[in-house]
Amino acid sequence: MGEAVAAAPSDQTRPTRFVIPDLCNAPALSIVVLVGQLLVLVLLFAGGPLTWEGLALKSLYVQWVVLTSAGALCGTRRWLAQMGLARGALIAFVMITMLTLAVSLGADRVVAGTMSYRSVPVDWTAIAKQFGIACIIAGMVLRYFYVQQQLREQEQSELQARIQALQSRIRPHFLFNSMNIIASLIAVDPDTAESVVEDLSELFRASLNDAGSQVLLTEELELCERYVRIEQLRLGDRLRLSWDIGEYPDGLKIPLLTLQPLLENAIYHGIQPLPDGGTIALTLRFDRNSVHVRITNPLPPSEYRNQTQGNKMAVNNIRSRLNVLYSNAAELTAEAEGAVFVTTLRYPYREFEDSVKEASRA
Amino acid sequence: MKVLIVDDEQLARDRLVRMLSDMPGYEVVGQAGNGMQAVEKCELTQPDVVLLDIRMPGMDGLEAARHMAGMEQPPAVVFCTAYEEHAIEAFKVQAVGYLLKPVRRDDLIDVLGSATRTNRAQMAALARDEGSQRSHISARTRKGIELVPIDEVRFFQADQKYVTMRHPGGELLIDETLQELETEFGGRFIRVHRNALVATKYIEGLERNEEGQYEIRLRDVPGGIDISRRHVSMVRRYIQKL
Repeated sequence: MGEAVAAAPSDQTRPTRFVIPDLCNAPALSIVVLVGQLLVLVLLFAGGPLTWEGLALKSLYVQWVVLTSAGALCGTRRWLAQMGLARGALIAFVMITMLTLAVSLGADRVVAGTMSYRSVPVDWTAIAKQFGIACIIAGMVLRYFYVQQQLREQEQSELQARIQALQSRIRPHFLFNSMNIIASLIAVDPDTAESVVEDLSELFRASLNDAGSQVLLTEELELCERYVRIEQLRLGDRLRLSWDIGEYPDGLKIPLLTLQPLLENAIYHGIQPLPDGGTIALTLRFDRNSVHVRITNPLPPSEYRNQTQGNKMAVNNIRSRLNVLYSNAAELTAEAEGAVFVTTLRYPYREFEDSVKEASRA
Repeated sequence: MKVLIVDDEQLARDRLVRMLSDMPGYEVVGQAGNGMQAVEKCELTQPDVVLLDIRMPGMDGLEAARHMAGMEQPPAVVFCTAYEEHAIEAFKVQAVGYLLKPVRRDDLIDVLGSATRTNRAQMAALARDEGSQRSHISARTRKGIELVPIDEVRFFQADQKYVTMRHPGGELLIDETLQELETEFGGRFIRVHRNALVATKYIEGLERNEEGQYEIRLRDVPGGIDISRRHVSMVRRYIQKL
């Protein structure tokens, strides 16, 4: 279970996506032992005397089979994975049944109390029964692993598809307006035109990046600055900014393109419709376990508001993305508070997020 | 040819000015940064053609063009847009000139060469397509075009020939029908009589005068406005909901 999550990005050689799970670890092994013990109880209830001795003997036998099989699968998993699904599974099946046969033959001698086949002959009927049981159970277990893997793959591809669908896109308006700025500046102020091209490229690169990936907060804030620089050229002194970024740890991450679309929204709905513009305030605070962001913009009177539908699209989009990444631990609100419109974002400070990135990369 | 350049972005205006300065036969007579300014400048400078950005704060380009179309000598209008899929479709339908930003030199030359005057019907159709409401109503007076914010209009009343618009500054005659106004400002105005539309936000009450005629009282408006028998129950229901 969950190897894709557990796999360290550096450990590329370890096969993480094979039908047989990785059994070389304590939690997996304890589950194997538990399942083995349940099998013992089934066998015990199904026939024979209900005695402590019977329990002990059957446990000894089953755990031998289970543990040697787990050990064999653990040791050969990488090799089996290279065989491909059908051949790998077949070899695993043969391995498990042969080990069972060997353990059965051993157990037969232990029960007989002598190594001499002449004094006590091998109980072939019992061994054939045990072999039959082993075949059935090995087949069922492999089938179970296979179904489970299919399910996991399906979940992962669905997750990836969702994140990609929610990927933040550059508004066409912004693109063409920026192009217009460049065209306007190129003759009169080539240096500024050059920096607009650079800023725009960075924004585009970010929007083409892996959806759902995490970046350092510093990088996201830098993207915001690049974005705002372009808007400032367009809107001039109509766009006023007040940034208040508190202290935060260097390694603090944020889902890529979370703050920039919120700023874009604030400018689009709060500044652009106002003939005299206004102020966008961005506050960022970090406490021990979460990050708090607050963005405010003026709320234009109704007759000035952009009449376009989908005002809430960007916010809903980011909210869904946060939901995928943090389940319910992140919160995004957007509402009017008197004369200003306030967008707040809170997300937990955690280092687990690589899992989703891994999932979407796989 | 006299050209008025309207865009809320200084850089965009600068570029158009520069492009036109290289083209013989064109003279930039003014610039404006929003729709209101554009209408004022248009009256002042009487341009032959207006290069009009659509998306502007306050009054947008589509509305400014509507007011310009009501002028005595309406200019030809060329809309400029960065990206407005719907509007572009509408421009094609209405055969109105438009330019895409960043504006290409060749396109500018072409469109200025073929720009024609737009009329009120075209502009009204454009606005309908966009589903947009005007922020102002324009009236042609001796002083020129007068713009009254729709928020301040108390009522519209029709007599045989004209529609009168009542606002705090007095009364103005406008060249529109009550039917058109009702369609455009449906939520803000309510029909109380075949010949009257009143602003819902200024309604103070309903009363009956000595002759038994129902009247509606509006804030800052002395006297009442007749409610026709046909509309009484509807108006009463509306007031009760307030």
